[in-house]
Amino acid sequence: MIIIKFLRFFFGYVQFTAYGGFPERFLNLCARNNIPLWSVSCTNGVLTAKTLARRYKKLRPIARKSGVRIKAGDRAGLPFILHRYRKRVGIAVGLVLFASVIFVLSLFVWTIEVRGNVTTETSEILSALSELGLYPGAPCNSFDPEMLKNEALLKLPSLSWLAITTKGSSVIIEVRERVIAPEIIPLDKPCNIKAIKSGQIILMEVYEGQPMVKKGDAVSEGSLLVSGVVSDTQGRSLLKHSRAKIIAQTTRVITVEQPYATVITEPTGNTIDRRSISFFGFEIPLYLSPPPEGKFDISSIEKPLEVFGAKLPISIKIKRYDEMSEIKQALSQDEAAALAESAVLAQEKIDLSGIKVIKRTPTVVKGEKSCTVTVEYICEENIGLEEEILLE
Amino acid sequence: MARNRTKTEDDVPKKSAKQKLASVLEVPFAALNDCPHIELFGNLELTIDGCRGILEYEDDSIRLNLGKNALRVTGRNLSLKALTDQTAVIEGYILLLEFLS
Repeated sequence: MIIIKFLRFFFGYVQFTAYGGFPERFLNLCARNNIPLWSVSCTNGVLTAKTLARRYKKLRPIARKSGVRIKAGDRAGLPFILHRYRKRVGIAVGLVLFASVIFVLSLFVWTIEVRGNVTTETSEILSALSELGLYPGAPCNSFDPEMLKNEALLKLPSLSWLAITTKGSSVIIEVRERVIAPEIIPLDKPCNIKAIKSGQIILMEVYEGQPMVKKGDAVSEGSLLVSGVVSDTQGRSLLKHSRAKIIAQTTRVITVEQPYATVITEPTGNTIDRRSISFFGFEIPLYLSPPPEGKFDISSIEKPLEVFGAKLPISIKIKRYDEMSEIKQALSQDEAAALAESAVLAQEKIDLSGIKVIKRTPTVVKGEKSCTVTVEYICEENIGLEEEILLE
Repeated sequence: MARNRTKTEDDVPKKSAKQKLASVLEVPFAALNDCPHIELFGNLELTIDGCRGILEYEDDSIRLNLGKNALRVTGRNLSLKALTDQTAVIEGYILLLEFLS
């Protein structure tokens, strides 16, 4: 068994040979005197066995009694290794120093990992935690996870849940983001429905409330479509929470102007890297020269060092300076029109997201200095918006 | 009529009091007796608990004292893997086990 082998190595053992006399008596006396023997073999009357180093001295009187002569052979184990290097003080000092460094470093936080965030930036979470006292290099016992969790949730309203787990010198932050509910006026609150856009009503389904317009009417932005004040049969006014689906045909316009003369910045291909080492929050630059002068696009790359997949709190930061040059470009009318069209399409995706477009009419006007693309859209959309009736 | 007769090797030994007690109490006989316990792993390793010493030790034959009788182990390349006051472990190529009275 491996544990027995380890113990034998730890205490050290000696292989010896015994010849002459009565080897059987020798073995029996060893067993009676609690001297463990193993790997015993007898060949041509010569007994070979192993025993623990500290028991070897006790073999001599037993050997005398049984008439055998013993001779020590190979020695193995930790005591002999230590004895061989007993004058090498540096090894002992190095071991002590190593143990001390490991112990001291384990008292600090090395890495902080954030999991579970989708829309909230990791840097935002780390920045908030850093202000509360949790950062790489902070002592492990300098923060209370429970208190830190509550304070972090107050600082980060986009999170609904946060857990701090400490594993040795690594801290794992698990978060769950808050799902912001849309503003809905409670059903017990009275409200009107007003138009958020001008248009012509093509579909009107009123579930609750008094309709003020009908299908086919043209309405302007802000006009009342369904009233929450309803009169009953006896002439009394009742307040209701209006609910309706009102689809109207609306008009939207997107205009983009693209001048012919443009100035574009392009990289020249010259790159200057400035490196620095960062550990426990300290940054040591590995360069002496000042930042380069001129027009540069600056980007930062951080490469943390890893050992067997575990990130260390030591990283190499590279600040890259990409030289840029300004180039005056003259576009032709067609090129300008194409650029303007692509800008319109990009804007379409943002403005008309979720809206049904019935008709799209683009117009291109090529002027002297610029090209203008105007696109008119005929859309069908829900223009009703609930507005609470405020009562004094 | 001759009532007394000498014991021969064919006679089956009578059950001892301990054996009878064990059968009455329905417990294993080994629980009441301190006879040696022998475990054989194939023909490669033999463990004897209750061994009282070594009587003979050769490369091809080892004789052990079990108290009331002796055990001779015959084989090839026999060696004592471990030996303590009460236990002996023999390894090697075991060919024959003989109980000697």
